Amino acid sequence: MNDERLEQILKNIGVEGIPAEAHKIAEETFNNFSESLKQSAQPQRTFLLEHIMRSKITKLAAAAVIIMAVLVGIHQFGGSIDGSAVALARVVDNIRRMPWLHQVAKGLVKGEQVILEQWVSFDSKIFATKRSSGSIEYRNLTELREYFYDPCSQTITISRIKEKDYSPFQGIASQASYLDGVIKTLGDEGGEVTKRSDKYKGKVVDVYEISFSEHPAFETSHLKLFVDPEKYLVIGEHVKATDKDGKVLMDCKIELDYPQNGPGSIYELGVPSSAKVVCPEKEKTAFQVVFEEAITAIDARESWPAPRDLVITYWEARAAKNYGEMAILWPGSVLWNRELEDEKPAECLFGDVQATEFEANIIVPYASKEYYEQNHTYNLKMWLSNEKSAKGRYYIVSGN
Amino acid sequence: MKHSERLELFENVRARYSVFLTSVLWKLTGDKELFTEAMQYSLFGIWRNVEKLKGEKAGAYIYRIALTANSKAWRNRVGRNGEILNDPIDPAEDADERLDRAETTAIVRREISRLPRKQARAIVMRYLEQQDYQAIAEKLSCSKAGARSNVSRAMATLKNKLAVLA
Repeated sequence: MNDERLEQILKNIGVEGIPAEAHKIAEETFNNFSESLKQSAQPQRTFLLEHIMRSKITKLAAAAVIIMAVLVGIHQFGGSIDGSAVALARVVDNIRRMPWLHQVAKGLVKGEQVILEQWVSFDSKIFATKRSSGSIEYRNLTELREYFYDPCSQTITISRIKEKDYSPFQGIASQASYLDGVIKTLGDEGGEVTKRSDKYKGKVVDVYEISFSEHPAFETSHLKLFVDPEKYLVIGEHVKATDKDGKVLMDCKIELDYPQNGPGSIYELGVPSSAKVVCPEKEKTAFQVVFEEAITAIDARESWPAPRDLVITYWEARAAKNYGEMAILWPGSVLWNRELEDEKPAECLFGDVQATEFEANIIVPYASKEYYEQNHTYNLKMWLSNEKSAKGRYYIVSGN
Repeated sequence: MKHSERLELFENVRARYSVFLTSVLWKLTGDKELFTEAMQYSLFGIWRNVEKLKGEKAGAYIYRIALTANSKAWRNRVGRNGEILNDPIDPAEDADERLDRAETTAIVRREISRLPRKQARAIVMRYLEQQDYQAIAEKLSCSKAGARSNVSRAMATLKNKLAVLA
């Protein structure tokens, strides 16, 4: 490739307009991120707990996540259990420092044999669960997205994890969940943690035993954590729970390891690349709401400027800091146009309207007066569309 | 620094740089999925370094964060399935030309994500943001000749990489 062609490609990228969709994505991403930060005084910790609270805790999934919940619970609530909790707190901190936690749980839950494999990354905020049924769940809390693979329909369903569902501890009381009971019992009423040395798979380990009773779901629950005394990491767990008649409801063994890498996507958990992906319609985003409001306002006006005049009007409004008018002339821009508060008014010159390859889109070229006088050409473009207006009126969708 | 203070700083950075980030990341990625990923990485970068983003050097940090985020997003994409993405196409071109142009543009974008940071920044400022050499020099804290040199080294690197791929 010669210099000129490379330069031309780069210049073309440079003059590309930024589509309204990009602004929308950016806005949503910022909003989600801000909201998550606001709702979490200590993001690293609460993200995990929130996930556990929100998990579809069914069958063995409960067993697999419960240990983490217990550990987090002890840590989170200050754990006035006894001295062993202090040692466990160190184990918890060590686990959090690991890039990934991988656990495989096998056992009996309410009469059914279940196998479950789970990956947790505290830094990347990824939680993945693979069940013996073949279903796979991949939750990315950074993206606020959940990917669920159903092996029967061979379909991946992508859904949005709602920000409001991430408020720390939300729903604990109302769910009366197993975790609720665990944490309450340990944190408020006092569970019992004992520590001793024993062997686990031929290795000398510290065994922490945690017992509690009078739980809404189980009469008694007994957890054993096998901790590597050198690395301060849990390498095995055993959870057993009975009902009031002494019948075993849950008896699971869990093995843990801490790999450097984990699944980067749901496909790395074995989902075939041929799986159909569906993304059910979600509720309207903030962008959709304000965009539609602007379009309604455009169509409601008695008269509307021609495309070139529309762009000129927009820049006049922008110079005058008339945000209300800007929000209508460029639908959706209300979400970000106040960020232009510090912008100095620009004097621009505008070219003639140009068609594009897309029927509904046209371009109005423009340049700063200074640039035009130096170069006698327009270096910038405003993209307009009339696609969403019932009256076919043009509005701004992008610009650079 | 308290969580609430960090949050306030984060919101200030957002107000000041979100349009810039949107523009630069879109031009660097040219694709919705990559853009989203790069934006998310950027926000993490901003949050992690938010204390550093209140002084005069904030702009430089933001560039760094954006370029790192872009590189990560591309790495993930290429690592995942090796696909090169298509750009919007011009129906006036014939099929071969369209394919060639779209592929080349995607490759150029990907190779920008692999440039050394200073060269990437020079290319972004010169071509994607259409800044003159004086402005680039000021932002890179170097002379105008230094800015030219950075741009031309970046171009040479890109050209070499593209030649290997050709």
